[in-house]
Amino acid sequence: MKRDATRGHLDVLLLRVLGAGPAHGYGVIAALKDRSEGLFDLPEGTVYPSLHRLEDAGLVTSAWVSDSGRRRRVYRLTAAGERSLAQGRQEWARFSLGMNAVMGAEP
Amino acid sequence: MSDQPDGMSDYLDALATRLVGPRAHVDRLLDEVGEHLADAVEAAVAAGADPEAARRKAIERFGPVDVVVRSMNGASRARYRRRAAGELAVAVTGVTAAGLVAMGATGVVAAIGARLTSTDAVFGLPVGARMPASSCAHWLSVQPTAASCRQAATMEAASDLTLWLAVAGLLGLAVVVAFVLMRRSLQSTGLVPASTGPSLSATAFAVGAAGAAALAAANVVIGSTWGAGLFWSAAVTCAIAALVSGALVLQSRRSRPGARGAVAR
Repeated sequence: MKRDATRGHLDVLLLRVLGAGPAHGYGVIAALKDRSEGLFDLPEGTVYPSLHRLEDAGLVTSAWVSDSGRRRRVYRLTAAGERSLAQGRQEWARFSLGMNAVMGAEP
Repeated sequence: MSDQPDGMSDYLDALATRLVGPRAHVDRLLDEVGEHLADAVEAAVAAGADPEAARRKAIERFGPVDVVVRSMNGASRARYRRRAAGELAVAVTGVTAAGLVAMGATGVVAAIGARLTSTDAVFGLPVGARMPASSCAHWLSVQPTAASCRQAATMEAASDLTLWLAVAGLLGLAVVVAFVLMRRSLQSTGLVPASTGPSLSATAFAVGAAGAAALAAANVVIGSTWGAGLFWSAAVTCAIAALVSGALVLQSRRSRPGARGAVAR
């Protein structure tokens, strides 16, 4: 899949991953790749600016957490993030319904 | 062959020297990148990979330095756009203050020049200037000690120009105070280089010095405008201001942080 196509939906994808529970950056990116079965394979360094943008928008929060001698920045959804995710899922459901209807139809 | 640094430290150093934004922000980015790479290596080694190969793979997967820097700096610029605009406004205020103070200084230099040479040489009327009777009457009424219409016009020009240049200089000092206060209250984002203001000043003053010197020289040759001394005064003041601004540019470039990139102190 083209990277630009993934990037256009990256915010809602990240919200969806965090909707499953708090995670640090590496965990978010690994989950994104696993869930998409390797389809969403972006340069990992370009995902952090999106996480920070979501944080600026108040959709996620983050904090340093120490765990077995390691320090990680853990991201979690805010209430606004949960609402945005729910809205994003609805919009995606409508969009994919329309796309499937058009793309799956006989010419 | 890739020109990407293959070591973890080299990779982080390459990012550190190119990431922009407030220091705390860049430090956080670098800490997150470091933790991310450590996680990636740990996961690969746990899966049986060779540590060295795991490190190379982790860096490769994180992305080329150019791509990561472009993405992160783009986000930083968007995030700190307003603060950067504020920094630019402060730089422009500094340039304005320098310009106004230079005008005041030009008035002082011109006054000294008039004392050393003559008022006519500094503020005098152009050769062959027309002096209508009504203007003469006005000049002689406001300059009663003048012996002729030409002298009255010159004295009036000297008086007016000295006053206006002094007002500009005083206004400049007020803007200097505002500039200092603005700079103190500003938390630098590092997105606007510290050399921006001095660079603008140096360029403007260099152009001003050259222009004023050219006008003064032309005036000596063809005597077409008011006293050449005023233009020489402006040229000298602008040249000194350009040199001072140039020194500030060099100083700000020398004191630029290196190890952690273009980040604000």
